[in-house]
Amino acid sequence: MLDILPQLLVSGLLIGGVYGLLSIGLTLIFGMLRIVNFAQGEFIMFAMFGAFWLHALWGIDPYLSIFIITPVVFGLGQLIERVVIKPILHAPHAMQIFATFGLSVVLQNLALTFWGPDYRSVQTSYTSQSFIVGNVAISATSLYAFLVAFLMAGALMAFLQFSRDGKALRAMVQNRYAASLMGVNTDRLNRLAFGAGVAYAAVAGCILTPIYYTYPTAGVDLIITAFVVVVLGGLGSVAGAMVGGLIIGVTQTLTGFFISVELKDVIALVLFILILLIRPQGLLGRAGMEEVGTK
Amino acid sequence: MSALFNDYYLNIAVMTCLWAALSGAWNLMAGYGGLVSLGQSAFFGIGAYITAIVYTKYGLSPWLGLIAGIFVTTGLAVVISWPCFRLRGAFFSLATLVFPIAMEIVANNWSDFTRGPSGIAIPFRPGLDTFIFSSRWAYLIAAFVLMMMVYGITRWMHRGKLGLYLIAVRDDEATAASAGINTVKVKLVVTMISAALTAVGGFFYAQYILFLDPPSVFSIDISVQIALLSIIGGLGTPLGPIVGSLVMTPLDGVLSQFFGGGPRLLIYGVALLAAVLLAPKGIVGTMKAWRRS
Amino acid sequence: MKQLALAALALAASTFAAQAQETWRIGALYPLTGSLALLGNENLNGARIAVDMINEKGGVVGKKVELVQGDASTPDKAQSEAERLSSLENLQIITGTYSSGLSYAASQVVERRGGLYWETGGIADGLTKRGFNGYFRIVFTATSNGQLAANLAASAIAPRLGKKPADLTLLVVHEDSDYGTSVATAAENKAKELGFKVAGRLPYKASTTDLASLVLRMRASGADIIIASSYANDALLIQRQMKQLGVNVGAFIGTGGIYGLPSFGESLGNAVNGIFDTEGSAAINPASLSEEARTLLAEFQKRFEASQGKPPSYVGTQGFVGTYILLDKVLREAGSADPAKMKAAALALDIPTGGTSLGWGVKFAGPGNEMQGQNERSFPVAQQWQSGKLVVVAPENVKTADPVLVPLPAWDKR
Repeated sequence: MLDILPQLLVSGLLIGGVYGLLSIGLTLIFGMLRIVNFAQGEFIMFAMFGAFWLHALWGIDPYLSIFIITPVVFGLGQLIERVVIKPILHAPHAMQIFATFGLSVVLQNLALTFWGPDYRSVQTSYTSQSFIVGNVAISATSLYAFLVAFLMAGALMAFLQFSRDGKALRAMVQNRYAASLMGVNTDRLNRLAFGAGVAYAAVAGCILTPIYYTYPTAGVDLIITAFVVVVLGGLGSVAGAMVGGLIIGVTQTLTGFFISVELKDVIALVLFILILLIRPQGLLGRAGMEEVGTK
Repeated sequence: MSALFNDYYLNIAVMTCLWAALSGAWNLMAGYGGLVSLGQSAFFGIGAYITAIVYTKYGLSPWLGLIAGIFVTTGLAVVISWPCFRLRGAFFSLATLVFPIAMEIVANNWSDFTRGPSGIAIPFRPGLDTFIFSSRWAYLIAAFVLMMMVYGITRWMHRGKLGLYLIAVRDDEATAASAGINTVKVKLVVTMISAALTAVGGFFYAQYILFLDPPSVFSIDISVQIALLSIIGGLGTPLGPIVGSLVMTPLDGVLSQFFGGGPRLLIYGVALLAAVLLAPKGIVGTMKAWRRS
Repeated sequence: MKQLALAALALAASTFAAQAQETWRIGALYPLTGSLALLGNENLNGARIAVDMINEKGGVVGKKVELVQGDASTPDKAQSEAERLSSLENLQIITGTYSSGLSYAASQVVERRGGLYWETGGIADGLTKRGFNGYFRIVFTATSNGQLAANLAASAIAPRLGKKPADLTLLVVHEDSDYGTSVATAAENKAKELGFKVAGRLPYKASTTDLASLVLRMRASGADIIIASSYANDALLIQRQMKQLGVNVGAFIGTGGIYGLPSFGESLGNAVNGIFDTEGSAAINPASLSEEARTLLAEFQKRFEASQGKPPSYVGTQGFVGTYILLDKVLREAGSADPAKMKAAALALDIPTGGTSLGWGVKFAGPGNEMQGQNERSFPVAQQWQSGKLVVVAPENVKTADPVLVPLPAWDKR
């Protein structure tokens, strides 16, 4: 039984990487804007459709389509920020929740209306490929997702730490008012943050296209775990999203194998509640963070 | 005119009242207490399931199921409050999302009790003791009574001490606590009331639709619908949920008639966005503002 | 103000109704949105073609047929749409629903109004155990599908593996909805009965994003034969992750749904060959069909391909056959939309096996029977993907090919 452990760990880490990838954008938007973007899954779904059509019509590899789709979604995100998000930035929570929720319903049904309910998939030479290392098999597509996730997380953390805009964003998180007094254009940075957050969703969507089917409600299934990951890791913490993703991925895979496959999805919920009880700011969040920015 | 009393319209009227009642129960927590729960379907589904199980599995009157459902949901409300009340804003809402999911899994797996994924089909045996009626009028009266009950409770709170404390807690919990309000107790009481009323809605649903399964009664769509109606009608006002339901429930019916599938939900989503962005005080709130100006 | 609006609506509705006297109006209630939209739409597409074909032949007793659609994505919507179709649109005949849960809710309404409910897709056994006089289900039950999968394992697969059931390990995996659970439970019980070593029945959530743990359990159980009931994403994940993790089995038996859709074949390419699928067949051996059924099937397939851009699946064919029988045999026989006459005509139906394009006959169990309303002459068949297409491999009299690729080649050779 012990000889299956390495395989279980590797598989768990790989799906954990995927979860991290799904969660980065979500945690970024929450960290910067204090908004839970309930439509994040739909941006992922749209990117998946984009990658699918680029592949179906012009044979463009999903990984290459990242370079086409991400800028488009980034621009779209900035537009949506101005129209939907900006008006509700200081609104009561119920309004914020339903603004992004309404957005999610609209996007899902736009996809359903234009593309129908069919399940589409992309086949490439590597969609079922795997690398064998010892007695452990590593799925190629999941490995790529894993690598991209860490790359993107690293890039984002570097941006936030070292770049001028990144520092301004962090200042905004700590104290919005003071930051604007110091000359930070909070308006522009909000747009940037939201655009970046959904751009990350777009990257995730393209990377995931070779792994899952593409269909209008694809975002819904993918995003639930992302919420758990984000809370576990600490809302607003990019490193937390990656760590949270890995933890959930490994825990789920181990639970699924040793206990029950059905219960593995429950384990994420259990972890969620435990974290809320024991350490609500998440693993890598700062204490009291769960209250910051809610006034 | 007789077409107006057609069963189809009666059905819409029944559902309008039921949704208004459910939304009103949520409004107590969210509108007055600032506790934006996205997990009301947990209470709803439990109320429905316990009613169905008591009736179909044990052969007892569903009214007993109603009482049992109220007990269980208020108990669950207490349990839920413990981890969730410490959280604020969106955190709280995210946490509440978990409970219907958990309940759905329980219902799906505890097959001996709940018949698992197949769900429970309730046999049609009309009678006051079974709360099943052949005439939609009887259901309409019951739903209307439920809706008015929720409205009454909301108005009582609106004027009373509990309402005052709740609003204080909602607007600034720290200050409320320092003014001597037992914030936890206040939040707990409103959650329990909300849970119990939602469970009553579940009881009604079970004996009306006569079929339930885990995905249909624990779905996120129910939680969203409940909240949506209050937001459109006017969050934190007694009439809000009723107005919201009067506008949206028949609209949904009309949309079904003329549009199919995707386009209908698309319109619904746009309506939601428009309401949130353009009329955040809801219909009642906006009208009050007009009258004042 | 509300009253005026409602009155206007009522007037509009009754005008519609008045205008529609010249056509037969049949309700069609399917999940067109929500999680079941994929197959709900497929079912409806088949039904629509049946209506088109009947109308082109002059309709039924000179009047054309019109399908009035309803979207039943949840039980309470099913109920209110059923109410709308029967009360507002005054339709006495409603067909649907693909999903059993929706069928339960909608048919209550129709039965109470004395109408006819014609089920072309829901397979929960309980649907025809309610003693409803107006409920007729033309498709086979979940239990018979699960049992067929187990029978296939015993009769066609075990011999080709050169072993007896007692020497083979069989594992059942399924998504945990009503469909998956009913089929899987029946398969598990039958497999035990047939003497297989049943390693277990593993449920999972269809919406899950990863099934590595399931696939590794398959390998750990030493399963020779897998029987699976899946929704969509999960079916794809299972196959891909089996390949990635190098998990090989002797035979893989799917039980309907996605396993019979063209998109499944497309998404796996060559690797789909050899996988079995038990459900109804969209391409049953024409030699087993009556002349009429054969012609109808060919015509239907042509039209479906033309309008949808892909061949019909069983789910689409189900919608077609069910609706065609309703219009051509029951409505024509009854001569009027009067429910009493329709029910009598339905009960009087006596189509021998091979008489419908799915290879089934039609004979409904009558009042007093435990499964009143069930078509006793419907049956699932066993199919297999061969060269990217589904062919029927069992039962003997309806098959078009023999099973191949047993045991399944290792992944690197597929």
